[in-house]
This record gives sequence, structure tokens and C-alpha cells, in this order.
Amino acid sequence: MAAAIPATTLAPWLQSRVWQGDQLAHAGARAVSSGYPDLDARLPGAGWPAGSLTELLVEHGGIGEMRLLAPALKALTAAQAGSPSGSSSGLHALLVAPPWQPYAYALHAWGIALDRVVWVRARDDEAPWVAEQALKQDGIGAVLVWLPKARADAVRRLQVVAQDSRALAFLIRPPAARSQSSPAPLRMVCTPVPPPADSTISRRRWMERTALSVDIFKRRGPPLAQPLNVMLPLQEAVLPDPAASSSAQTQSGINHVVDRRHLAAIAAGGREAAGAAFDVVAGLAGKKHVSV
Amino acid sequence: MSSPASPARSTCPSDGVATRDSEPPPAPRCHALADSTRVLIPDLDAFRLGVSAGCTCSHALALAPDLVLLGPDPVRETKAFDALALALLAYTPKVSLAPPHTLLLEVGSGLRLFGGLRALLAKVAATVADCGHVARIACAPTASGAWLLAQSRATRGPRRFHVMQDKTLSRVLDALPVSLAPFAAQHEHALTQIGCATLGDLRRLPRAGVVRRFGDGVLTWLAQAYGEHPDPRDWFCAPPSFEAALELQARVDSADALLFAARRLVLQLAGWLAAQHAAVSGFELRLEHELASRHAPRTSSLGVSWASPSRDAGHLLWLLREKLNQTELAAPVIGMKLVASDVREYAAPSDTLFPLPEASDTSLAQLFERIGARLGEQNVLQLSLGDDHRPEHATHVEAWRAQTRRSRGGKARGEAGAAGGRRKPPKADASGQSAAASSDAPPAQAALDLPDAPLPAQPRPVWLLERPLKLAMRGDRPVYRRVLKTLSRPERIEAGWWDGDGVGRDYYVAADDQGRMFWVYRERIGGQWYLQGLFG
Repeated sequence: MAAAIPATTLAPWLQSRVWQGDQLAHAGARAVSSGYPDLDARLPGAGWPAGSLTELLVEHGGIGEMRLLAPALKALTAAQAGSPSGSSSGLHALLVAPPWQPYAYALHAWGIALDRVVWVRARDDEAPWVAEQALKQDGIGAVLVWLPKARADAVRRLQVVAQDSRALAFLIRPPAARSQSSPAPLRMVCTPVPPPADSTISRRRWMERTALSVDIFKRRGPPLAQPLNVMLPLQEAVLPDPAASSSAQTQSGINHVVDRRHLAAIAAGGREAAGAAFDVVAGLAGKKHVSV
Repeated sequence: MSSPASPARSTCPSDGVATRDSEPPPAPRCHALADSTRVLIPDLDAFRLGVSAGCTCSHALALAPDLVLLGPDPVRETKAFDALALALLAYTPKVSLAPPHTLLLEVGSGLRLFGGLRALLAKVAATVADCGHVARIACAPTASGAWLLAQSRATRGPRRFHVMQDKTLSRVLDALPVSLAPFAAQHEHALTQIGCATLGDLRRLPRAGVVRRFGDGVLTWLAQAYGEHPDPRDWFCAPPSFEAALELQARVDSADALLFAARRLVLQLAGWLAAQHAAVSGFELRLEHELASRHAPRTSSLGVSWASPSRDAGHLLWLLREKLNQTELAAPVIGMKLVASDVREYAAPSDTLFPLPEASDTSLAQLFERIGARLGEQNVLQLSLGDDHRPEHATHVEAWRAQTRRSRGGKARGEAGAAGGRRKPPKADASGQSAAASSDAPPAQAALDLPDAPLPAQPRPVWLLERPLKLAMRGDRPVYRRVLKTLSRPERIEAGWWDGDGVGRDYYVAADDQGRMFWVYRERIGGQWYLQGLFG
């Protein structure tokens, strides 16, 4: 048996092309951060890889798979200030055959540019074709395709087109597909994390602590020891973070109104949240808020 | 004229020959195109039997007794050349027809645009082939020079057909036989008699003598061919409106075959559009059907239209293919006609000096049009925020449109801003709307305005059900697969009493014991629970 060549003896440009099975692979330079540092650390290339198919196996849907992808979609669809054309706006994201209707306000609240999102309603047999066409096109940032009954050859074709593409390609399938082999180099099962015992946690906190357990069972790298829990709050700021808002409120102004953010926080929040918010409100009547 | 001209000498006999060639011959039947005395072009079978262009008809019949002689059809030839010229207008506005079956293209000004001479020649050859012809292409710095080279290529002359330099041109032309020149037919005898075999020989003769014997035109023509004299030409003029017809040579009843034939028409359309600086956003394909029964329709028409005007032949064919694949033909087709219906002015996008990795909006628009052509336009959708509290009305879903997208977005923002300014300080349920509000208030007002910060938004689900799902109850809790437990305080949305679609609902975030999150509501009146969304 030949002795393994330590990767460090190779030239740097070769190192990136050699993947040794006990390490996490590099995904070239083309990876988009998932926005969750824990998850990034476990993904080859430290982010969602462009140029390969990523399979998310999701039971029923509606368990947080979109919240998992939202930061990456936000980054892709956001206008890129540094691009040479100046006014260039972000890349398009295609939702192909999602099981339900996407709700614009939620996407908007996540910061995804709505004019860059295209929702394609397609039948099961047309959806792979649409995804394929979109992946062949430049200027597409991400293609999300829902295929409840994907045939193996369709998945194979998607992976082949994805290889030549610069876009992120996500295939969302039911978890029954876990036992089937698939050409996608990155596969994961997403399952909701059951809530903790009711007595220890308030319902509000529960909403903020919603998590998704992500089990990456196939990746270019060693198998994951245990599923990763990714915290996915229902909305970024259900309650304003007292620390963050007080730092944002430092700028004084002549605005003699009460910041309704905090009133709403009191209205919406529980007693402890109200307490936290009162401290701030007391100190800041008449301060101008700098939006975050 | 110093710009290279590239004539396509198309050996385009009347179409009759071409088709009958392709049929499997029951016996070795061969055909040739001939005028009253001589064979003009033999087909391959005849050529193998020894029939060559220029031999007399009786000689040819002696060699091949089964030879069928066909007469040329000048009207159809002219039509074929006009169609070809139209298609070639895509490469240059200066296309001219030269007498025996030759098209001259002045391409000097477009070489860079099409990526050099070689690339351009390949494209021209491909277009000619797609139109169903075979071309022998030559190029030279002068129109007559290119014409001569193309003629010599047709008669298998010297090897060199692509000449770029003036100096090389005179050397190459000098070696060509004088019989190629257009005046050779009337003077050939005299020319060979005086020992003048090549054009070089002719040029070396004393000018006065040549003028006296052959007329003034010979020297002028020579000077034009060698680039010593201007050579004005009548350029081919594209008709002001586009209509092209094609007679099919067989009954066609499959979409693929129809598309293959329609390709020729679309190429002509693309050439015509380039000449007119226009683009189409719709065309009509009129099909002429074989009369299958007395009541069957004689013609039918197929309209294809799309959003952003285009003149790219590939894209037009794509759209046509999707349309044809969806269409059921009433009867076999024997003829078709293409009519450009929706022509608009169009300036081709300029190339960038540094190509960007992101595609231009145009190619994206074409992608969405292709998808729309296959799935139906109503299935390629774009979302925008609506100014309403009712979830059903808060999302505007509309078919993707390239043109109107930006302007409409601006308008919608303006409306939202106006509405936001008018609105009283929002109720607790105004969740996301305030983000768009009050951005264009006057500056004096700005100090008094409420801060432009989003309210701590109530969570909104990313997936909405098409229509709310009525939930069963277990005790006082709603059930969706499992018993649900509400997590949030009620968020009341009560709106729409003015448009007859009023709702009064208390919304909750609910979860089941496995950690899935749902957006449910209870009717204020009646207390029925519904599921409306999922927190995906």
C-alpha cells in the first residue's frame, strides 16, 4: 500500500485539487457562506458549494429549510456594490415547484430582494427541466427545486449541469430518499428539533429557540459524528435585543416621540422582556433611532 | 473598394433537383439541370456516369440513357436568392445579387463584431446551409475579385479562395483563366486565338488594342477586380414588411419536421430584423394544410408572442419549438408562411470591454421566456409586496415581465409611501409594511416623523397555503396531523370590510410536539380554526 503523501508537500495550487478523505474538502473558491458559523465549519469549502448539487432531505416541508437557506439567498440577491457595472443588482434566485406559495413578506423580512426572486410553478415532470435551464444560465444565484419523486436520472442530470454552473443548486426531497444513492456530493437530512420540556421554557423563548437538526450524512470529508443543531428563530428580532438597541440609540436628536419599537416590544413581549425594554425606554425618550 | 467582400456563390438549382435527389431511387435514375442545348449541373449519380457540366444534352443522354433533364425555373431561383439575401442581412447591410447565382456581401466593417474573418465565414456558411443551399464561399478585397474567386472555386480552380491583401489579390487573379470573366462568353474564341489564357495575359496586352477589339468595359471591369477603379453596386433592399412563405416538399405532420422547415423562415426573419434595426415580440406562423376532408380547415395559424423583443434566431426558434410541441396539428402541412406581427425598434446591446460574469438582463429575460413558453407565462411568477394586512392580498403575484418590472416596482413603492404617510400611526398588527413607508416626506416634516424603523415584526411564515385549511379540534386545541399549541399572543388582522372580502381573524404561531411551526388563525366570529401558513 502506498504511503499517503502529506498534502503539505504539494504545491499550493495542487493542494486545492487533492482531497484526502479524512479532511474536509475545499470547494474551490466558490462557496457562499450559509450564514450559520457552526454549519459553515462543517461544510466543505466553508459554505454552500456552488457548482455542485446539494440535497436537503426534508420531511413534510415547512420545518425551517427556507430559514436555513435564507442568509445565503440574502447575500446572493443583494446588490453587489463592488461590481464593476456599479448599478448591478444581485443575482436571481429561482424557486422551482415549491409545495406552497411563497409569502413575500417573509422573504422581504429576511432581506431577500424580492425583484430577484422568481417563483416557477411546474409539474413534477417539468421541474427538472426548468432547473436545468436555469443552471445553464449565467446570472442565476441559486436554484431551489422541489422534487418529491425525483428519478435517479433526473438527479444525475441536475448534478451534471450544476457542475458547469456558478449557481447554488438545492434539491429538496423527502427523507425517504436517504437510502437511495444519489450523485449529489453534499446531502443532509433536516429534522425539526422537538421542544424542550414545557415547564422549563416559556412559549416565547421556545419561538426564538426553534432549531433544526441537520445531519450531513454525505459530504467530501469525514462523516459527521452527530447531527448539528442550527438555531433558526422564526424572525430575526421578535424582540429587540436590549444591548443592540441601546448602542443604536446613542445618537441624540430633537425627535420628541417615543420609539414605538419599544412600546410594541412591551405590548408583544412577556413581563421580563418588558422589564428589559423599560430600562431602555426610560433612558431614551427623544432619541433618534438609527435603523439597523 | 478596399473592404473584403465575401460572395456566396450558391449553386442553387431549382428545388426540384434537390428533392428528388433525396428520394430513394427505385432504379438508378439521375437528373441534370439543362437549358435547351447544354447540361448546366448534373446530380451526383449523373456525374458518376460521366455527365459533366457543359456537355451537350445529346452527349449526356448517350452516357446516361435514364437521365432526366430538368429546366431551370428563373422565378423560383430569384425567390430563393432573395430569401438567402434576406437571411444574410444578419451579417451586413450590404448584400448584392450578382448575375449568375452569386451573392456579394461587404463584410469589411463587421469583421471585428463577428470575431474575425474565419468565424464570420463559418457563420455565413452555417446560415446558408440552414437555408437549404450549398455555397462555395470566397473572399477578396474587391467585390469583383471575390466574385471571380467564387466562380473559380465552382469550377475547381486554384486552391486559394480567401484573399485578404491587395498584393496577393493581383497575384492570385493573374493566374485565373480568362474564361471565368463575365465577358468571356462573347469573346472567348478571340481571346484564346490571340494566346491570352489567363487574366494576367489579358492585362499585359496593350490597352488601346484591347479597347479597340473588346470594348471599353473589359478594362474597366479588370480595374474594378484588381481594386484600381471604384465598383459601385446596387445593394439588396429588404422589403418594408416581413412575410416569407415556404412550400414544403412533402406532407409534414410532426412538429420536429415543421420546426426544421420553419428554421429557414426564422433565419430570414432574423436577417430582415437586423437590416431594419428592429426586433419582434411576436410572430404568426400560418400553416397551409393538405385538404384531408371537405370540412377540414384549409389553413390554420399559430401565434407566438413574448415579452421582450428579440431578434436572435436561436431564441425565436426556441419559443417556436415550445409552441409547436404544445400544438396539435389539424392536418398534415404542405406550406407555411411567417408573418412578423409585432415589430419594434431595437438597438443591439453593445459589448462590454470587460465581460462580466453576470449575464445581461436580456439573456435572463430570454431564459424566463423560454420557461414561460413551455410552462405557460402564468407559471413564471414574480412576487411583490402588497399594501394590505390580509395575507391573501399582501403578496402580489404576477407573471414575470422584463420591461415593466422596474417601472412598476417604482410605482408600487411610491404608492406604498403615500399610503404610509397618510396612515395614522399603525396599529400593532402593521408588521412589515412600515419598512416601505414614509421615505419621501418633506424635510421639515422629517423631524416630526416617527422613526423609519421596522416594528418588531410579528413572524410571518414563508409558505402560504393556497387557501386556508380548516382544522379539526381536539378539546379546545386545533389539530393538524398532531395537536397544536399556540406560542404567541393573538395578532388581530381585521381588514377588507370595504371591498366585500372582509376578514376578522386572530393569528397565532402554533407548534406541534415535534417542533414544526405553523401559522394558524381563529375566525373572530364563529371561532373556527384554520391553518394558513408554514414556517419553512
